[in-house]
Amino acid sequence: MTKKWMKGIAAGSILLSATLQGAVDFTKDVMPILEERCLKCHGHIKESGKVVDKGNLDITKPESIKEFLKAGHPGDSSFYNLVVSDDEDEYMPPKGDRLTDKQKKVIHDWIKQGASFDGYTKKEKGESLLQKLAKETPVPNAAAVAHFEQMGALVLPLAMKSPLLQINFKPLGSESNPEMTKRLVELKENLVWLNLSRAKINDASLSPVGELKKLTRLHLDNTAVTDAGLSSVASLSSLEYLNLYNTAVTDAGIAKLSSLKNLKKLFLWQSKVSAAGVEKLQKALPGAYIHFQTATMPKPTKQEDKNAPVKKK
Amino acid sequence: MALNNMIAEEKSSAIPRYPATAKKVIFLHMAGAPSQLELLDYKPLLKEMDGKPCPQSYLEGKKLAFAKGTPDMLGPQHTFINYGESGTIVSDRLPYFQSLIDEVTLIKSMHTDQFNHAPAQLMMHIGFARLGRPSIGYWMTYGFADKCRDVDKPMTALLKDLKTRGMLDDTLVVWGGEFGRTPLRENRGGKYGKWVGRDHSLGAFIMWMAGGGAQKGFSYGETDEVGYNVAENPVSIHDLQATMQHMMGFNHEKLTYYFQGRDYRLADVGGHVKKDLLLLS
Repeated sequence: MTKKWMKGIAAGSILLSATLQGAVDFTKDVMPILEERCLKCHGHIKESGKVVDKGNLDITKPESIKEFLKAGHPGDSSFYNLVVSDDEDEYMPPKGDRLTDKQKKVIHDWIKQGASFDGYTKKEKGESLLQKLAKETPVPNAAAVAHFEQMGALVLPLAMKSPLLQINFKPLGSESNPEMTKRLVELKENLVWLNLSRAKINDASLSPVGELKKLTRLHLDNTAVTDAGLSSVASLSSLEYLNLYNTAVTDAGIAKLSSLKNLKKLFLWQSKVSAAGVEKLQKALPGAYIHFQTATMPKPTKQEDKNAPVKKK
Repeated sequence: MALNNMIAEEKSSAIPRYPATAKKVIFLHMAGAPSQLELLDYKPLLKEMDGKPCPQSYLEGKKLAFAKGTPDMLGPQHTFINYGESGTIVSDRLPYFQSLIDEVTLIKSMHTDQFNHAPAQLMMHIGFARLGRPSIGYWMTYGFADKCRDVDKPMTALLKDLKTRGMLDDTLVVWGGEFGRTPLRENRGGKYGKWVGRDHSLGAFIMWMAGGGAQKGFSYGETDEVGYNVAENPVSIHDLQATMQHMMGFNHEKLTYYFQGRDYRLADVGGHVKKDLLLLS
């Protein structure tokens, strides 16, 4: 990779004849090109939290880009030369179409004008909740993982090389029991998805679950969980998905969930909640989708074709 | 043999590369190829052209399974109405499905290169039009070490049940046949038979997906004015397979297995993940 960059410097400048027209702004003019054509290999953040920075270039960081350019001199900047190179062993991007002449000129002019990063701030909003949770996450406690695996639960990383975990107790079936959640606390830094659907648990089983602050998905449907157990759930501030269908929870129980500001989906079909209780929670959590009844039939919005269709006899 | 090899290697790749948006897939395969022109691809122009000889421009370069000479165009045989907030146009032949139209993503621009039922079905399921390779379900179990289930219920009830129980969130339901149907009437052997029917069409057909991280109340791709060919945003079977693998958390380019001297992928050397079909997380 280093060799590639070195060759680029020697490749010379091809578009030196390009004339300068107007001031080129890094954020407004250059970044959109880099995001579209370079980000995938130079600055993309994987779900695991790892940054892809091939050739040590991360286009989201000015200090990284500066390593590959000489302000005012596009012809001496590999950042420009590799884009215009005709050598298929080195040109960038290596796959897909080459940059257009207009895009090349934007990069050329920006360097020529001094390669200023004024006004640029790195975008953080592209990060998903899972990416945020993956940051500074330690490797899961091997003894705790082994404990749950031996029990018969399915313990899996969320993705390859991710320190985040999902645990599904479904394989235990009738062997599940209220005590089995006890050691989940040992995995609190790692656990994001937890499935206790149809498990033989009770409200007390949820006190260790209440410690799992990184949980984003929690299945408690078809269990003996009641309003008392929801006090533990109410502290899970990262929760996005909560399934409580076919449980005995009531309006008093779901009122405790109004603290879950990240909640996007809540399932309450066949529980003891009322329409009034759901409405109240909906006001506290306007962005959440709360499902507690069977889906109804939408009416036609407009008759597109009133005439009888052509039928062949 | 392919299957045995896969099961042997199952454990080695049991971890997805991305967090999966779909943990389970239910593939409702409509063997026999339902007519998109009677169900979900409404073409007013085709109605006007009904009974008129098919213009040569449509027939040029086309290979037909049964129709001969210049068959007549065949208008839509049923009434179409807009449904749901998305205003999707649906035929009255799908009286229950209409109720969940806002849950699904229609892919109107599917196309294939196989026009006989059996090879076209193979293409859909194994990515090749010949026998001897593992099916899409085995690719998923190879990657995942999970079990698929047979579900035999009407599709709308299935979607409704999944939605009500909060399971549509991570279950992907895919519906569709192996190819489409022509806008012209089939005249097998040069004669119109007792039944009104359409011939096999490779140029365009419809599939839909729901749940598992697919968009909702959304249509992707368009066909031409009579629904014979894809006009916009084509989706090949390999694209569909790559997209489904992506939703299951797999990189379709990396999930390979070694067989008869080389590595194989489900979507062979083709297939692009159609990110427009996916919900943003």
